Amino acid sequence: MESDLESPLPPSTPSTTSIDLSIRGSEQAKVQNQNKKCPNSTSHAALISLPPARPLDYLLISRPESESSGEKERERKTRRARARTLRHAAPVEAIGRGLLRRTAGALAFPPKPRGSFRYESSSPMTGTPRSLLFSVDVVDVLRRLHRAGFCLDLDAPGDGEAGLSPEKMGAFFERTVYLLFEENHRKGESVVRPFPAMLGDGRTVDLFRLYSAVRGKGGYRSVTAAGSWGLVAGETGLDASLGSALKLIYAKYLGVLDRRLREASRREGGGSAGRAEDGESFFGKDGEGNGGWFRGVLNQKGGGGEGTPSSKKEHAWAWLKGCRLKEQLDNGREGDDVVVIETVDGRAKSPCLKRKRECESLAGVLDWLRAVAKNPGSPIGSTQLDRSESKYLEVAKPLSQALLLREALVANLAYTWVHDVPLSQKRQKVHPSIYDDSPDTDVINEKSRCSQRIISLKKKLQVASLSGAAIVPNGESDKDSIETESEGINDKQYSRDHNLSHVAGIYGKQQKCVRIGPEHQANVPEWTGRGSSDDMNSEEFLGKRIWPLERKEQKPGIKQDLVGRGRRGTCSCVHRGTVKCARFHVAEKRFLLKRELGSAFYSMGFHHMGEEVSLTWTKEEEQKFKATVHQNPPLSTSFWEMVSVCFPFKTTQSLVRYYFNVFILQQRSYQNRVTPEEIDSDDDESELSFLSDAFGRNAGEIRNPKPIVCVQNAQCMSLDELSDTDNT
Amino acid sequence: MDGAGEDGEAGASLPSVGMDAKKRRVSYFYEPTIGDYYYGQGHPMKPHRIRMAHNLVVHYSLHRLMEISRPYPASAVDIRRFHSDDYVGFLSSVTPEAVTAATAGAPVLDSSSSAVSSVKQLKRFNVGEDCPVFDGLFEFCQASAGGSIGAAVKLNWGDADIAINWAGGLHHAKKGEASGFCYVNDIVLGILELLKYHKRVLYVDIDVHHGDGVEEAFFTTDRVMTVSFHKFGDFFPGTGHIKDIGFGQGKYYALNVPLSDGMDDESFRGMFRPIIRKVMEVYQPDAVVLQCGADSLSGDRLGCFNLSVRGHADCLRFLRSFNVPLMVLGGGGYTIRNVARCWCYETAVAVGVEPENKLPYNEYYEYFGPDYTLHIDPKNVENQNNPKDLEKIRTVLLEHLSKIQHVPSVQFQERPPNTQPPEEEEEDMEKRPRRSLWAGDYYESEVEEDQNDDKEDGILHDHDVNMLDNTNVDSDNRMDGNM
Repeated sequence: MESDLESPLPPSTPSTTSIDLSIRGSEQAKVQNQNKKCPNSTSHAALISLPPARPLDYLLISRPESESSGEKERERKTRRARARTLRHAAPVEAIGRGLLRRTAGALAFPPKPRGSFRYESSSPMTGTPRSLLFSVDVVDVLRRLHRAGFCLDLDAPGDGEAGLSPEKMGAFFERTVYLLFEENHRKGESVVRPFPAMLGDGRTVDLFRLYSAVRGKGGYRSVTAAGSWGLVAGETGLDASLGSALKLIYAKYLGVLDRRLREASRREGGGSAGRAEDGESFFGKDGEGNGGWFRGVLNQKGGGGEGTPSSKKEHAWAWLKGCRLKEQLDNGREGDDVVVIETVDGRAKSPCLKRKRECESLAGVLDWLRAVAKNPGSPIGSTQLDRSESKYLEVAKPLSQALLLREALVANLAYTWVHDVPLSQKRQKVHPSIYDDSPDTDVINEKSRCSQRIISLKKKLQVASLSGAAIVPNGESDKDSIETESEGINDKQYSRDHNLSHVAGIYGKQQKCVRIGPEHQANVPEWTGRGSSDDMNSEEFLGKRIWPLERKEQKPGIKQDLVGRGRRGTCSCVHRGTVKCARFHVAEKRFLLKRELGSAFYSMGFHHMGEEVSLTWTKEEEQKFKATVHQNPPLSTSFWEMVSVCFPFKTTQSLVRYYFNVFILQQRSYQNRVTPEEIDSDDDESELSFLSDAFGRNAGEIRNPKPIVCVQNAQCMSLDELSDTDNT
Repeated sequence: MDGAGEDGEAGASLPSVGMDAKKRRVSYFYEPTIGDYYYGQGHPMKPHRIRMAHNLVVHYSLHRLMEISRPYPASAVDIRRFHSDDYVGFLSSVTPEAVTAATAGAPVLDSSSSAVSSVKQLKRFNVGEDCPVFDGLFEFCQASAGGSIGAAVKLNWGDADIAINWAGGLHHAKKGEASGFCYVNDIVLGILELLKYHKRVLYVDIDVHHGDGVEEAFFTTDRVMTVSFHKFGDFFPGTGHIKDIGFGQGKYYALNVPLSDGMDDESFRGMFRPIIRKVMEVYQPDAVVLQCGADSLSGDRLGCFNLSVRGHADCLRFLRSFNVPLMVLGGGGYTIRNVARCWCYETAVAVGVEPENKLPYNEYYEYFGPDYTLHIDPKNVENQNNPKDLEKIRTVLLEHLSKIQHVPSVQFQERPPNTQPPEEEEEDMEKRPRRSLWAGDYYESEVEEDQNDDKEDGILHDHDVNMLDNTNVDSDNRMDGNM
């Protein structure tokens, strides 16, 4: 689980990153999302704050920066973004304000059913871990956090209120954890997870009980080492089989708290055994590195007003989140729209889980994504770009799975938005199940179609949630307001996002999906009748006619071959079928053609075809070219580099021209006569390499007649010039 | 060139033509420098093949039966009609040097180029191995796209019945990224141009690879129907499942014919003809775009089909017989001598000439050794397409197609289909600007022969009604003949 917990680490400490690509059976997490059925305005607004599923964060992180080229484009983009901001900012703010009013003070979590508890106010700092069974003092935890500079917004209940009711205790604890996330998020260290924490079947997990239970057993590591997560589950009031799911929940939700507490104890400078154990409890291995880093962050925080410019917005964000939670619970629906972690055995599979692909185990995928995201240049990441057509790579599976997950999440979000949205921005996603054979495909399609209309909001939403995450690693999350994050969108991010999806598609061994959305489809206008007005400039596209010639240039009376006529069967050459013979006839034909085409001969580029190209080369140059080829077998990638180094005064164009028109042609004429059976494809490079030994020796003689040909060609040219001048 | 004598000669040289020997006004786009672009060492895509094809075309004197134009290079603005801004910006400014610098990790001093070609961007736009940045990349794209747009304009203006651009057909390019040797999707740009004047455009793709870029671009519209015949299964680009049928309004307007290795002429024809016939019947396109990727030929370096040049060109022959404005584009094709053969032959089919098998002497004569013939023999490889499977695929697809008839879409609601439209359409067509290079009497009136199929006559008949307004003498005659 280590990798899951590194999320707060900044990219500057990659050394602490441990990448684990294996899918660990015991911790397989199933991520699913469920359809939300209560599309009222508040829940929509709240959705904006929905934190994305974990994989998304990393997808975004790994996306390359997009840089528009040219000042103009940048300008245009900014303008567009601004326009969009204007368009959308108002409603969002309005919704936000409304929510704020409605849910003022709603951060408190509703009571949840709990088992009976024994609360002791003994401090975890002073007691030994064993004695803490079932007894974590929330207030004390908070105080410690306060001392470390965390959760300052949350006041500890008065000392006199030591006897908090169990319910309040739990709620208070969750709030504390939530605030920690908030703060982390503001610093760009991690994302805020959905609260309350939930299992795959929608049951909520009482974090406080979980925390107490784990602490009681000596902390995360001890429990893991002892394999007693099942016991913890029991103590938390859940089925023992849910142990591994709980482990995940703990890691995801409470790891932060553990770290902060350890940090707090460090700061207090107390090196007591108990405190060391606290730290141990979660981050035994890389404790040092972490500690150092946290301290750094704290120093920074003290030094600069980081986060101040937008703290208001962040606050609003937080509020929205709070509202969403409230809303959700009020509606009595568990598990709506949140990514939940499901048990491995899947016994408690939610009934609304319709799509197979989404329930595939994704723990490995998460890890893989993380690895790629953190290290785009690493072998894992870079191999994606190897697009050789036939082979699929082993990265295919996790990547495509991740993409499916992302797709599903986004598509799912979209369904819940059935609201007024600018029609101008149509946006669609293919629902993965469009490919399923299920009889209800059509129904689902209809659903997707609904979502078309609401797309811009969806985009906004998606980016809002993503952009929050995207900035995690560079700690700049506070720069932008919610509005700009969500509205100023950033087509960039969006397109980068599908960039990856494309890669996934290519290598996915499973069927690749067609991507839907304005980034993918052409903008096809509605049919309004023939001929649109913007057609004025299409005339230039007719191009420059090079044939037939203008009438004045036509030369009637030249004997022409029939259309479609091939070569005559026999010739009277002495050495029929030799290179010399062929050259002669080619030159002959060329001469006739030149007569017929006139200026079109040049405008069609015939003067750059055939061995005559070599006429512009000196003999020395040709020798040099040949020598270069021999020294650098053309299969080696450095071949062209060498050639261009050897011929600094020739353009690539002319080198290529020589290569295809003269060099390869001569190779082929040799092959045709010496090794005709070995020609099986146009893999000219490999052909060259097999020739490279004998070529110089044998081909030399065959190419002897070349000067003659050139002479002939030259004659042909001069003849033609003569005739040209005659005609004009 | 517009002398009647040549026609006579052409006819004389073609006593053997047993198929549709009617003339079409053919416009052919060729960029003379296209052959000098080079993807890089060992890269299978060689623009030189287009030059070779052109060379053959001219040496067979086919140019006399068509108009040849040098395309106007498409500008960045034109390309942006489909492609995303940043991608086009990247393409137009990236240079091999900048890429080398970026990949070498060296800090690029010139700030503008560093902005252009960071490694990230290369990845983002999928530029790298398959789609390298080479010298003149953007000019190449401009030429390719300019040719296809020009071909579309030709058809739009009624200047030609068939427009050919062998430098086009780069069907993998996506809106915001390169893919499969394709950077700018000239097909999409061409179709968008066609859509200005044509209500429905049919796109047919016989490249061995799936035409994913075009399909994706028009996946949600019913104004363009895409039909792709391709190898499917463990093969680039991985899309093109038979169940991909379009989405939203475009549902049922994308058709995929997944095939296996070793597809031969007969099997291919057995798939192509019935499906396309049905497509023409139910969709009634106003224009057709055919991507003639030559990697479906036997012995292709990357492909795995076993088509002969004739079998490949049969697709064009068949589409041509419908007498709908037709754009013919290149595409894949990695055994370049066969590509040249194929496209030369298809040019001949377009102009209605059956060229002799013995290649005329030409500058690239030696490329075609040791036999120096136009046609190639299929290889002796196993056809892994079981007739039963093909039958199944055909049935499924025809079923999909029948949904178009039975599910009236928005498109057909606007205007009732087959029954009434001729008059209406006629009017529309009248408005179409006409600037024929050739006089109307250019057509010979020959009865359309598609040997074995009565059904098709019916279709053609319907179709002719729609195309009546084309005011082709031969069209009328043919109808008479058919009746």
